[in-house]
Amino acid sequence: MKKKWLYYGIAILVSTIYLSLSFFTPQNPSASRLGLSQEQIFLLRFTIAIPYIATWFFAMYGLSTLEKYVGSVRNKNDTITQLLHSFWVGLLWVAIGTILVALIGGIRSYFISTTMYPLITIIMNYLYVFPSLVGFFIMHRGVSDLRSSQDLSVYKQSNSLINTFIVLIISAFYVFLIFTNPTRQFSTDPTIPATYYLPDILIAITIVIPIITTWWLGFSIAFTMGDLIPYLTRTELFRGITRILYGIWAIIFTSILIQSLLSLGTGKLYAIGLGLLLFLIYIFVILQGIGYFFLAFGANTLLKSMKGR
Amino acid sequence: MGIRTKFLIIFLLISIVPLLTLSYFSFDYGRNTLEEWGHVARINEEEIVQSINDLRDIIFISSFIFIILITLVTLFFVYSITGPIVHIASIAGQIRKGNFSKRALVLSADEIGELAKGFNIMLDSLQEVHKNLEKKVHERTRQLEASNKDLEAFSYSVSHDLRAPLRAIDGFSQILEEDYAAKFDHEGKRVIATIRNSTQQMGTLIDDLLSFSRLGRKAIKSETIDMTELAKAIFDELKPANSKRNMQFTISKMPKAYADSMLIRQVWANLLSNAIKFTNKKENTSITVGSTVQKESIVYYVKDNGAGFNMKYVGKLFGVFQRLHSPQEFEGSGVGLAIVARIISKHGGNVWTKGKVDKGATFYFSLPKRKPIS
Repeated sequence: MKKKWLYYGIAILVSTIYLSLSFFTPQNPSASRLGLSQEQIFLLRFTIAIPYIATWFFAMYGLSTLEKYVGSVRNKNDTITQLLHSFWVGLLWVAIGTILVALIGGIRSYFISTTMYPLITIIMNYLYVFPSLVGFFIMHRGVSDLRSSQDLSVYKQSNSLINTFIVLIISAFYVFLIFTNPTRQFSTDPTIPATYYLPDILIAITIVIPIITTWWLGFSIAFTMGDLIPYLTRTELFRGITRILYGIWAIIFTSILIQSLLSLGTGKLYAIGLGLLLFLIYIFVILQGIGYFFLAFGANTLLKSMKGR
Repeated sequence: MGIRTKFLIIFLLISIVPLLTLSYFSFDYGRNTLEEWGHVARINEEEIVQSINDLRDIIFISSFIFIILITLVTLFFVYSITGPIVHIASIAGQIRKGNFSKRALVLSADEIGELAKGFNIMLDSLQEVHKNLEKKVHERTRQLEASNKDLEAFSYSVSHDLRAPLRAIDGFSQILEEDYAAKFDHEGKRVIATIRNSTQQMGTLIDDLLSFSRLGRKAIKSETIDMTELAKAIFDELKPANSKRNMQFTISKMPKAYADSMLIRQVWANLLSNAIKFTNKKENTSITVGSTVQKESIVYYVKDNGAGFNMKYVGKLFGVFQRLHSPQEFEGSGVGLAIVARIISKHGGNVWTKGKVDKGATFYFSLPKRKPIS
């Protein structure tokens, strides 16, 4: 019970900080390009912040429930329990990354047109990349252990060709978007900030490769999970892990979506118009919300199955 | 290829079309100029190009987002539809392996849920039938084992009990032959000799019958046997010492067998003695011993160029007291091949033969590569 409130406490704290940062932020000069008044910007931030905060609560609920489930399973050496433990640790990294990005993003808006802005942007970009990479790596290790474990050798190996093919297609577009973004390294227009503030070689090595690796790991996890689920012999375990799988799918696609949007660059995002831009932001927020909602839903199903036994 | 992989491949193929369209836009992206246009008015070129490029940006980004969302929705769809179906298939796989206690999870109230319910009902019936069948098989096996045991005990005691009076007949006829020979005329001596021959022949038959019935009770003690050495040694023991015929014995290197050495010795002895016996009317005799390795077993064979047999009667060859030649032509009790068949059957192998009258015969027997089923 204490741990559950620790998670909620963190969610309440970061939500409060995020809301404060969002609503007291100074006026963004680039907002004038969209032709919005300060009140309209405030309203837009509110409509984005609320589902965003809801997502964090879903994430915290899901992670606390998953931790509780893993902790209450008697046989800790059971391969499924070990897999779910790796999911809990991995998703914790991903969720922490998401929250930190939002907080740093809020802080960054106080430093527009200052020398700190590029540094904060670089930190923010790396926060998008590395916690997710670590999280998916941990989850992938759990899945690999499951694959190699003796008692689960009957499970089909997922089709890594399809996995690689999907990631290759998405990556091709992602790489194209990044390297056709004219403001990726620097911007001559003071109202349009650069996207990465890094030379191309560093963008390739420290952003593109880790991101593509994260996606590959994510797809591999999801495909292997999809192969495992039909062999589960308990209804609640089947349902719970299926929902967690849906959550992981949604989280992977959220990452693809946000990285694609980031890679377009602020200039191009303004150029597509406010309507489409807002649509994309809402899609991102909703997709992330769906991901963590399914995680919470699945973890809850698993915990219920424990209580019912 | 599983149903899920098929779904994903179909989806990927369908996606290729918008992806290629998108690629076309991508490669041409940002290169628009008015070089191919006719100038009809004095308008800022940059302004026109910018609006076209903005439109392309919108199309490109919208298409990309659309593909991302469609991919996600497809994956949800594929996994939610195929998950329960693949689950039922996995249960069917376990049932096939003999695990009748498994049941499919009923995960929804739709047609797939109904399918799982129906599948489980079918499994209940199947398990019941299987249980009854196993019970019946067990009962029948028990009955068969009991009657087999009775039959073996009967044949053993009959053979054993027959030996005593037979020994008496043989003994007394020998006394008559030796002590009262002077009192018998030529016909009397012939009759006494016939009685003795017949009793000795019957003794051989009883001995063979006894060894045949003993086989049923004998437990197999498997070990690795060098079949080449064994067959060679047995042939050397059996080959006639002062034969005038030209006997050619060919043996090729054979794989080792894992079987009861005493019983396999008996098999080689019976087959080789048959080969020697049925070639004794030929001046040039050829006996070949060899083997072929198959996937799960090793086949050994003994081939001769002797009297052979008519394939019409092949079914009778391995039966007890079944003979295709008269005792005058070739002596024997007709039990040898029945013993071979029984020994090989006990090892989980098979026996069969091919032959042609006056052209010879080949007798084959197979043994499992690994530990035989007793």
